[in-house]
Amino acid sequence: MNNRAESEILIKLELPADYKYLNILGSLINGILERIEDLEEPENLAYGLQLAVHEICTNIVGHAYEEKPGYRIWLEFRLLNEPLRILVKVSDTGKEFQSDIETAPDLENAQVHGYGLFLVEQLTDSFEYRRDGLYNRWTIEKALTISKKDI
Amino acid sequence: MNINVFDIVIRIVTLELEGRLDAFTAPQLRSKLDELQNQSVIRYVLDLTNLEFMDSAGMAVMVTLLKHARQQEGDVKMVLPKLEAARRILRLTRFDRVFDTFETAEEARKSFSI
Repeated sequence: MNNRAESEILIKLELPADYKYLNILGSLINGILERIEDLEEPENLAYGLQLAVHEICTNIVGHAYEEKPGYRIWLEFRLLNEPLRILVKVSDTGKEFQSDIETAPDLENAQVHGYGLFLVEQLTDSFEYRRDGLYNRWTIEKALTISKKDI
Repeated sequence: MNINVFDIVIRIVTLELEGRLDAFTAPQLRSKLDELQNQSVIRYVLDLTNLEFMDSAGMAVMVTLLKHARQQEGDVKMVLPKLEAARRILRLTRFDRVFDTFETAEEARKSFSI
């Protein structure tokens, strides 16, 4: 397999907004990343990316949809070149996210809440949220580094 | 002759967590811990050796347990996961400093100095 995306690759996924099905994200992200040869720290990268996307979806299920059944989450995974990176867009039609309510955790004193979006920020290179009409739009981006081989 | 025997048994509960600890499975752990807390257990070893994935909902259950145990003068000792990627998250959130951490459950159990 190539160590770069041949062209921009787009994979779309639509999930029921239910904690039960968020385990699917891990398999999908692992599946995408294992097609890139010589990726640096593939396990850390896959785990971190899975956790970041998972935390956004958990936030959507719990806060945007308040754990009510029947709602959906839409995800787009794009592999982009120059530089090689993955862009993940997550959308929902739930309640608007109140960024002013979310506070960073105090890491010196363990807290029960507040780690979710902190982890998303720490595990990605960029993280954006915007309200777009009826939709919440979350976008994260993570660089994919290829290890240099000895010649 | 009088022989006075005092037999003190200290209960330490070890929970081995395998697979995923996330928003879907965290209520299962919470319910098991409620059961143990109702039995007045205050010393725990959380063995994460075979934990494959943990999210902030799982972390919330662990912190709640830690706070409760320490309030009762007990504690929660953590056995670190095998998976380096999972250990990295524990470092990032500084859970490796908040909890006493160990490589094996045996070491964690021995660390309870009564």
